[in-house]
Amino acid sequence: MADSELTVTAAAVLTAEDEQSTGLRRTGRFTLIARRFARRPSAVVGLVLLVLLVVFAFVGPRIAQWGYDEPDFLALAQAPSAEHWFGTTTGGSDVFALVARGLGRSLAIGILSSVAITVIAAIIGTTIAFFEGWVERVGMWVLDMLLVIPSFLLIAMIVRSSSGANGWIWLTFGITVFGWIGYARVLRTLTLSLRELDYVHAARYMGVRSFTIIRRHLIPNLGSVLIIQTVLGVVAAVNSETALSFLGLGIKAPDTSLGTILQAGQSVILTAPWVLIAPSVALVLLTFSVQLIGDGLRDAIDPNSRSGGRA
Amino acid sequence: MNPVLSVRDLHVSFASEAGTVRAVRGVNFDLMPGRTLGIVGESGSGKSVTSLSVMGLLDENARVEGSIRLKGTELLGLSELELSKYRGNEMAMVFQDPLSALTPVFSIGDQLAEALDLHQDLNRKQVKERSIELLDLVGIPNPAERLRAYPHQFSGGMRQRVMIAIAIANDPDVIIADEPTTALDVTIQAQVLDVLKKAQRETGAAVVMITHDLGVVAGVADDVLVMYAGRPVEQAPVDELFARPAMPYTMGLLGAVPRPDRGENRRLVPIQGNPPSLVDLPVGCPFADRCPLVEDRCRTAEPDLLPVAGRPETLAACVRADELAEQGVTFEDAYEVAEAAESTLESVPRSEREVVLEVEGLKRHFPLTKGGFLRRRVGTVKAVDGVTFDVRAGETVALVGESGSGKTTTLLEIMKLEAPQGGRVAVLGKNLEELSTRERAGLRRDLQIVFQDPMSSLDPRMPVYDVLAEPLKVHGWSRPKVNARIDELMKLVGLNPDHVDRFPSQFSGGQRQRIAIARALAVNPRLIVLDEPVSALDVSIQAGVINLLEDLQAQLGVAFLFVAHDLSVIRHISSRVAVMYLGQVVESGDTEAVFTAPRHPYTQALLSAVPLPDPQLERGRKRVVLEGDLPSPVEEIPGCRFASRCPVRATLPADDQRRCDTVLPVLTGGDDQLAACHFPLTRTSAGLTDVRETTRA
Repeated sequence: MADSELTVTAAAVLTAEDEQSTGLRRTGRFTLIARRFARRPSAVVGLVLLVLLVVFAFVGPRIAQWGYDEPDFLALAQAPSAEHWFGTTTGGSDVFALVARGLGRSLAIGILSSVAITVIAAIIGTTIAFFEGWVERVGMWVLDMLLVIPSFLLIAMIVRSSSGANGWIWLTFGITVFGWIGYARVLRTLTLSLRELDYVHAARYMGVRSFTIIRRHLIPNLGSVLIIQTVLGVVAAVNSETALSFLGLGIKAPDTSLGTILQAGQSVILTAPWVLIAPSVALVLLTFSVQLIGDGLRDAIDPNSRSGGRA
Repeated sequence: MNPVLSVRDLHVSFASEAGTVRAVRGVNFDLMPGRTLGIVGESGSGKSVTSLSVMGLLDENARVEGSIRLKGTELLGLSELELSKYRGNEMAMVFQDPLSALTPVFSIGDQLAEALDLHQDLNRKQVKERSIELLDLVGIPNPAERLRAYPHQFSGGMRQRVMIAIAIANDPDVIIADEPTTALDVTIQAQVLDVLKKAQRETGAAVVMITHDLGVVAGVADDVLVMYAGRPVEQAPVDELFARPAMPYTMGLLGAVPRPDRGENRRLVPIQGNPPSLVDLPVGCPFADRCPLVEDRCRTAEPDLLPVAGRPETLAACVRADELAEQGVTFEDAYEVAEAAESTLESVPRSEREVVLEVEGLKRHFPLTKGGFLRRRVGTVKAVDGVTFDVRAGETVALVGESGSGKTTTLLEIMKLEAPQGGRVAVLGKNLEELSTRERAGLRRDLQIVFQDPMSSLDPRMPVYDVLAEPLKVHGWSRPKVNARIDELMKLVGLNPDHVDRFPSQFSGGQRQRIAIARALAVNPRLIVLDEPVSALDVSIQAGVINLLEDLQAQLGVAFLFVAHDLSVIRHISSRVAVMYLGQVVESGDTEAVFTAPRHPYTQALLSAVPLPDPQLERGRKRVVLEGDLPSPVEEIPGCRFASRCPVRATLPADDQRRCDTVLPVLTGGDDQLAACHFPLTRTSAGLTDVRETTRA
């Protein structure tokens, strides 16, 4: 077989670029996913929304006329106006500044804990599946035990004992520590089929060390699942952060998050509805956009989906 | 006579990321009643798409153009509802995979009744009678009882029989069989092909037989259509096609198949290169880039399928067809055959060579448990139960057997390099039972493996460089040495060293298998275990890989343990062979001796079931068709495991039969050929000699 035939594989379209350098094929894969992603209008809408929200979280505090922690005592529970774009709370805090700051906090907590959850779940899930035998049995037993722990309560206790300033870090920690267990079980199941693939056997028979196989062959090949899981995990983490804060168990004053604002808003829903509406809209937009992106990514990465266009 | 099915100018295209895939580009054929048309071609040649478009079973994203007429009625453009009047009634299909073609939740009787009720107005009693009649016809024992059985209670071969019964339920005029025996073992394949012929005789239907196996076509087809890159390139009566192919591609295909009936070690003729991408077809003949007889005019326009001068029944799509036919060119003239490499160990007799692998009485039993919480053992699966063979330096030993015979389990037991459950395994003279962890890690370098599926044996996320560097790094090679070695390896397996930065998905199946072979060779092993290394490849590509393996062995003196179910490949490549049946070696010895004069009745049956790519020999051959299926490995069989299907046992007196049933035979015989049989066949045993005579003629 001569080299001439190398140009006629299914990836023939990509070969021209590939002549040039090493990494181009990877770019090719990403371009492909990007192209399939872009074919779904809903996914693009989600991405645009998310970008706008992130910009808002970053730029908002700078363009607001008031800081989130400097109440305007001359304007208590005021409706939106030129000075307070989203109105003020009963304590005089500027809702625009609060929402921008709270959104940033919620996003930070959501993204950080989701990434951490994925990393922990990937390592533990694949390891349990890879070693089979008693490691798998004991590992699964431990996972099952951990699943029954009342995590909500424990997170609340952890955050309660922290101070207001670094409370959000403890909250991230709490959500992470109790959030990875379910994912680890899912990843273990996926690894079960992966570990039977010939390239994993081949590596074993070559004498490659077990953790090298896990790092080099197993985790990268779960890549698409991990990406989707991380993205959708952001929604879950934001939701639990909001729920905890809403109950007064999460972020505490002077810091703020969407849940904290919502909690402040729900008591004045009849007299000052804007306090509730602004953070609610921000929260709904955030989870909605991430969900759209997650769906779009799943279809773009899954080779069997119908993103291939028509003849 | 009017054709029952007539296809004109059929075009099918699909959407894909890379662009429009033109899977079928202008297929024409007429199918006469009662005739069998074989459609052959390699994967991606459009043969299955053609059959699916006739049945109207293509996916929504396919665009079909042209004309398909069934007894004069145009089928293209009919709605689903209108099509279903024809499907299953006037035309029927037998699919490749009998596992997924039957619904697991309905009994066989229900599924047959469904087919009958849809197209005929019968009462319950008539349906039952007809069902029993159909099952009886396809050779299912106790049909009345089996009607109530579910698909999982049937073996693969039995399920395929049921599929055939459903297909002929309404006396169709056309039966389309899409690779009906590809998923089956050869002895079962022989049974199913017989059933299909019988079904055709009973119904008088015309059959379209789609297959990649030239042996199967030679045995069943009247006419053959060869497809390449979505177009028919040659059409001829079967004898004519095999005896005097007119198109260079057909010649190449015939030259690339190893022959199970020929001992002489003829080099196989691989066709250079790969089929073109169907997205981006070249101008001119799509075969031009691989054709040894290419001329400038081949690249200007795609040739049409036209009659060949002097051969009234042959059509070929080649500008040089007339000329080639006149000169009587065969593949030997057309294709250049590279000389085999000289072996370094040729002169050393086998008995003086070092033993690299010794397996003696190897056992591997799996407990069969039931229940979730409190597991209890309900039986033992004797996957491997007494396997004995040895491999010496520089030779190829083949393990043959049908699925379930324990070949792969044997390999895995060896590859684990751990003490076996029973028996003795020694690699390079080191008994696995006495290995220290250090020694085991060292042995890993001398023992490497190549897997069957080139898709899953390479990590899709690693470029070829990293794939090849992996074993080298494990054994502590320095970076500059690794670079030099990878360059050397790529050249050794015939790939361009500049392509090491590509990912496995950018290579074709054959090339990937070459990469897998390069990876196995990387650390200079003494023994490579090859688990069905060519069975996932098309014949033209397979020939190249087989030649490569032969050359590598000659140059490097590495020993191969070759596992395969394809006897023709084994006869071609191996010097010694061990035939396995139900976890045991029933016959072993020199390949030539075993193939020319098998002593175990199972070996004989296996050999006679292999279809020959030669229609004349195929017709003249006597087959030993085995009854029934492989017994379950859970069954306790005190005597010979083959006794339940043995054709020889049936002819023995009662006393001898009892001996077969109660006493387990051991491998006995001369040094060159051992057989585990109480009543081994001799060279003059009835029936045997004439099989061989005909195949040799």
